[in-house]
Amino acid sequence: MISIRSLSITYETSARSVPAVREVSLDIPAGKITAIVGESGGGKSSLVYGILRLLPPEASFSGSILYGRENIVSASDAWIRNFRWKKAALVTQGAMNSLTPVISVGSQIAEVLQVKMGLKRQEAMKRAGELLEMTGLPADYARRYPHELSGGQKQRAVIAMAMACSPDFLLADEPTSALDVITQAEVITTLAGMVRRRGMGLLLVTHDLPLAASICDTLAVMHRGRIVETGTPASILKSPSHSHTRELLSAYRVIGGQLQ
Amino acid sequence: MRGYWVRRAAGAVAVLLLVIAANFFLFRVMPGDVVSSIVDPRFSPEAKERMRELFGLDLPLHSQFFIYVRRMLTFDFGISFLSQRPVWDELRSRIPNTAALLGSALLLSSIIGTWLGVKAAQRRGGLIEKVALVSGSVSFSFPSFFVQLVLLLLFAYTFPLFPLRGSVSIPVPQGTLPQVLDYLWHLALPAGSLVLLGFGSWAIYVRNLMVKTLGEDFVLLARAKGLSEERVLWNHAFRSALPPVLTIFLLALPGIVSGAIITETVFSLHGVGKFLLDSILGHDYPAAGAAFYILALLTITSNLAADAAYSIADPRIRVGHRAER
Repeated sequence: MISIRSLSITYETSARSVPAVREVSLDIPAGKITAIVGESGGGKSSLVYGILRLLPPEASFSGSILYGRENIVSASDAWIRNFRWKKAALVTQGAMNSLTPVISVGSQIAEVLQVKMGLKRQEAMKRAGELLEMTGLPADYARRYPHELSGGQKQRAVIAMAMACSPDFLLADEPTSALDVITQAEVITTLAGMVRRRGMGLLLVTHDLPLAASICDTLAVMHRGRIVETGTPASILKSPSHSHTRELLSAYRVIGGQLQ
Repeated sequence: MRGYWVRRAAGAVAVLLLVIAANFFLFRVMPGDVVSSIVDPRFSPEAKERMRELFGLDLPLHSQFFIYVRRMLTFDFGISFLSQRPVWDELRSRIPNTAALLGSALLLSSIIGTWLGVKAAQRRGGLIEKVALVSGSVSFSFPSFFVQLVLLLLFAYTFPLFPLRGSVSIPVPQGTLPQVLDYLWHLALPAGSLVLLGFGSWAIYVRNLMVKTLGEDFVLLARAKGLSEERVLWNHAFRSALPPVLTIFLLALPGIVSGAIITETVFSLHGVGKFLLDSILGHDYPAAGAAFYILALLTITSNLAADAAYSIADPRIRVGHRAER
């Protein structure tokens, strides 16, 4: 379980301070899918990167993020480095520029296995192929470079990489936003399926409320840095209590017709 | 893939032939005649004519040209008008000196500059970034001969730590090790001056590339993987920024040869640059032509090498590979 308690994240620049996350408390249980939805610039990504302590130096924290008995906000660098990927791995927008362009996909996956799990190069490459297969890509795609994959294939490679160390949690930041709707559905189904089979916790952050609602156990709506509503997707879709949730819902109703 | 390199090589040969032709005609349209510069004006017209025959200058221009092309391709550059020795022998005794000077200077300045640039990008606003930016603007704004003369004045004259001139001491010291040390001692100031003038622009160039690269998503993901900061910096960021750095390195090779002309003149070194200058001033066609030819060869091979290096370092431009949609 990752427990976020009264977390605030503020970007301090010389001119002004910009609050991104305000007094957020949220539990991300293992084995469940938790989704945070909200408009762009609402602080969702800051929250995800804050959990991995990947924010730029001008970000200041207050409150706590507990993993077991350790407070991530104040943990040592060595502890954080070990926490990253082994305990919680990140799934970014793979379709964009998430993979290092000059290193083959297999080598990038193998690198974490070698560095974090102490595997030998040969074993690590073999395992990279298996991980790619798990996400629905042929194992020999390990030899390909990122530019040789399509957007959806890159997203699968990024998911395979996140699964490499069998972490307890996956943190997914807009994992499907750059993909077309059909590929989106395929990728999100693959991701949810893998997480459920392995009993991992998933924190899914997206602006796409219907997509989030279709797979999550708990839905949290974030607006201007605060979590304004939390509940099961069914209850929130049926009777949204906050005006921002209703806005998000009506936007989809206008574009996509009636939601089921 | 192979077709591409065959075309590139054919293009390179064509350029080389053009350079040979330009070399040939350029020296013949220049005012002044070699015979007038190497013989005493009091020579009789008959003696001058014999001289012209000896150098083949009495033959029709096109025959001279074909002889010239054949000789260039076989590295037979003829006899220097000035020294009366084979040009190739003259060049051969100088090439190692110039290669040592330029090779060490380019290697050191690119290594120091690259390291500084990477570290400057890593810690924006830090001391290393300030050093990189200042040394970069210094190397852009100071003429090399000025810096070199100041260095000579300071470290060879006022504080005589280094020799004032030449590539070796006279008399030459006995034994291999003393000779090597003596050579390095003579090389230190000229090579050092080129490093001093060169590393700053490397640092700025690499810093700018790295600042952009460090902002990319894949760098963030590499950090998210819990890799060490050095690994993220070098294995992911620098490796991605490397291809243009390699290209600049290889394309800088011929460019710094012109720097050798000034450096070798200031420090009175026995090198190709000074040889080139002396040959041009003395209307020594065979010698200057050969020096230009060698320079052109170096430029063309560096260009080919830059293309090859880029395609090795960056899989995205590997010719013949196709992206799949």
